[in-house]
Amino acid sequence: MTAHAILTLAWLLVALYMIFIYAPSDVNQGNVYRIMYVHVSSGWTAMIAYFLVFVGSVWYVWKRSPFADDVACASAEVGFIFCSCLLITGPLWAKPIWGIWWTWDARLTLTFVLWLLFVAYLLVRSFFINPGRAALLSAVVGIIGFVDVPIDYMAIRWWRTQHPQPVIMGGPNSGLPPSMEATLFVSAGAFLCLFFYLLRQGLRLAEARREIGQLRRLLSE
Amino acid sequence: MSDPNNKFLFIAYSLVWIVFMLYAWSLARRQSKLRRDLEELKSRTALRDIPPPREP
Repeated sequence: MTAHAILTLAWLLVALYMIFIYAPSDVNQGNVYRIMYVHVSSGWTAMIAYFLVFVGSVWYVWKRSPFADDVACASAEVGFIFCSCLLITGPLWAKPIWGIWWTWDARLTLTFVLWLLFVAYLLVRSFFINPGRAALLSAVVGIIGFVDVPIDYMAIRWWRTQHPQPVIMGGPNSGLPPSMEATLFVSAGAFLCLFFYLLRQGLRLAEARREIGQLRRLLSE
Repeated sequence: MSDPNNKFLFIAYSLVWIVFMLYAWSLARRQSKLRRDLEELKSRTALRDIPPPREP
């Protein structure tokens, strides 16, 4: 087991301890609010993932770097997983608190669009057989689609939404008790550590595929 | 007294766990296949480098 894997596992275990043991119950929501720790952490990680898709895509279009393409693709794949967790945990928290599974407010709609952008990126990659064309067209999705991320992040600050107002860096009268805030940051850190671990695994896969491609070309000569 | 909303908490964490386990399994399966393909191709390229047998 690598050092990164051990660090990720340890961090996740600490986060789980803080989520279920250290952090107190909420006065209004009881224990179900603890979904927040995995929900918010998934959300932040998904947005960071798409930022990496954007950076990798720009870098690829500019320099045609295979590594940049690998970063964008691996980030999209892992980001899709985290965004899916975000969309799974949201309704499971919403139903007991709001009484509804879903509503088409700005935040939820833009997050669903983000998920669709991850899907679109991965579909474009798999649709084209020519690797260069697949990389370029998916990079276009990665660049244009990034517009969604800052608007999604700011949606709960710019508009009145069903989704709660921000608890971190929100306005006056916002915020969490210190124990909950600490638990949230530890959880978010654990999720980010997991994201980068999975990203590295994805980059290893890409490197192996590239080496296989080179060997196949060598054999066909 | 147990909170009836606890089931949502349990389901949420269970589903997240399942999603990540499935993804980890998918990664491991792909890594294994690529490793096998790589080894096979390397052995085929190594065979091509073997000199032809001498004529009698």
